[in-house]
Amino acid sequence: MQINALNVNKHFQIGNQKLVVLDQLSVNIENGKFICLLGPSGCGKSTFLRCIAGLDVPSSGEIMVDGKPVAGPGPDRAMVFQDYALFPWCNVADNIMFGLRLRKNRGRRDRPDAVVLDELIGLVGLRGFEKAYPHQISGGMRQRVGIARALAVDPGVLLMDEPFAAIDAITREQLQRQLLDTWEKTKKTIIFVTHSVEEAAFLADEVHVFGARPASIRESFVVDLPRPRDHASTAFADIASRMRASIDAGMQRAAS
Amino acid sequence: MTAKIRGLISILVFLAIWEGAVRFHLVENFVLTSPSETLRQIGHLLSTGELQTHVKASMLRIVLGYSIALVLGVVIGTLMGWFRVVDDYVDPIIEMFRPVSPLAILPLAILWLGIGQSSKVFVIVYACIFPIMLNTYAGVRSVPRSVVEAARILGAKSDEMLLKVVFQNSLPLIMTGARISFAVALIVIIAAEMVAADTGLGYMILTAQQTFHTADLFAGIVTIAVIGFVGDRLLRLLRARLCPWYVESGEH
Repeated sequence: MQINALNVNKHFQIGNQKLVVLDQLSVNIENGKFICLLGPSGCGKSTFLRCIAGLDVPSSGEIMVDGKPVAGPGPDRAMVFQDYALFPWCNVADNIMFGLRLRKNRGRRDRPDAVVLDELIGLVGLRGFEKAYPHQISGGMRQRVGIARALAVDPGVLLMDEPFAAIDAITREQLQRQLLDTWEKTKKTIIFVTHSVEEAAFLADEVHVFGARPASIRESFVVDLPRPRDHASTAFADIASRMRASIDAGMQRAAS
Repeated sequence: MTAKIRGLISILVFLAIWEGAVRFHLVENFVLTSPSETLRQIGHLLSTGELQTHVKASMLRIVLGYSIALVLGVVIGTLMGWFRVVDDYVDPIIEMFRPVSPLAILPLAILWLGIGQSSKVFVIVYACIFPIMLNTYAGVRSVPRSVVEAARILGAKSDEMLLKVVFQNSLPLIMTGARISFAVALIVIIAAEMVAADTGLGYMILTAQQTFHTADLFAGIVTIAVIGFVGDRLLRLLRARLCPWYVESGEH
């Protein structure tokens, strides 16, 4: 799925103050790429992601998805949330199948539930936990459910809003590797919001660095290191330090 | 010693003191009926069928009023919690009536609906609707924004959002409201039957007192306690069945 944003502005009205979050943001995202939006917290990268999802509406400018302007949220742009946003009353299997069952109610004929479920459970490594409720499993497992639930509706793009930010470092690395694995198998476009330079450098084909608010994209990096990437290699350290320098420069500009 | 055993000891000691007070003539049994005598009297009233008649009469009123309140309370509470406009319009009315005791409404209900079944059912509805409505409202309001957004992204339309997301998420709190309301219904029906009825546990108790049948009076009170306890246990079981995912903090 191809995404084109052109001169996107977004401001929020807080009392009689106008808070400008996105300022003339433009970016083109190619089909099948793994894209990271990198920046300090509160810089507007999540707001931009929510605009692509259709959960927020830009104040002006345009976001086109496969040539069509975004009109509200939909399963073609599935989202993975930082706080997982699982349905607490659904067990793992029912969470994953939620979107697909809604479609089935509208007469869509997909593959049998059991087949899809089995495949997704295998893909995210949750076999044996189908009947568990979200409160019974760890944060890392909950986010795997979140990813499987998003993949279940076969979206064109996977929007991920700091999905591993609340997860411990060891599990996070495991989930990152698993996500790359999933991405290589499914060839989905992924837009991944993060404030971790290492995460962006480890995962992405392209990294767009956001400046401090009001944000647009300061600088874009193509990361053409082969996968699996080695955090300890000089090439990795080099690209990571260039990204960090870009973030720092953006924050200094905002402070001055 | 587990909490359960401590609770049991407490009840046994209470019963022993009560029984002893009557047995050793510390209190006249004209004023206080012993637990064993109360139990015997309940047996007697069951064998004549008198107790069943009164229990049935009271329960019928409760079940009718309670069911109506459940449906209305859940629907209104959901609409108020979900649609800001409904909240704005309905909330002042609720706040106006909420402090007015159901028993203050009873004479009015009798004036309008007569002393038959409907005035008592009306008062039960009035008493039960507030806890259910307000708990439903709180439940709907407590649905996390990201959960609603996740459902929208997965393609939920507004009716599916209300039924499959908002209602499901609110169900534990709705059940809490249902438990509170059941207790309220039991309190209110007794009072209502004392004022205007010729059947029901409230009528039975008041008549017993007026005719100096103290044992009947105690049999009635114990019966009410049993109904309240069993009803609450059943509602708890129902909640556990409907919301197996719900973990309540600080309760067992």
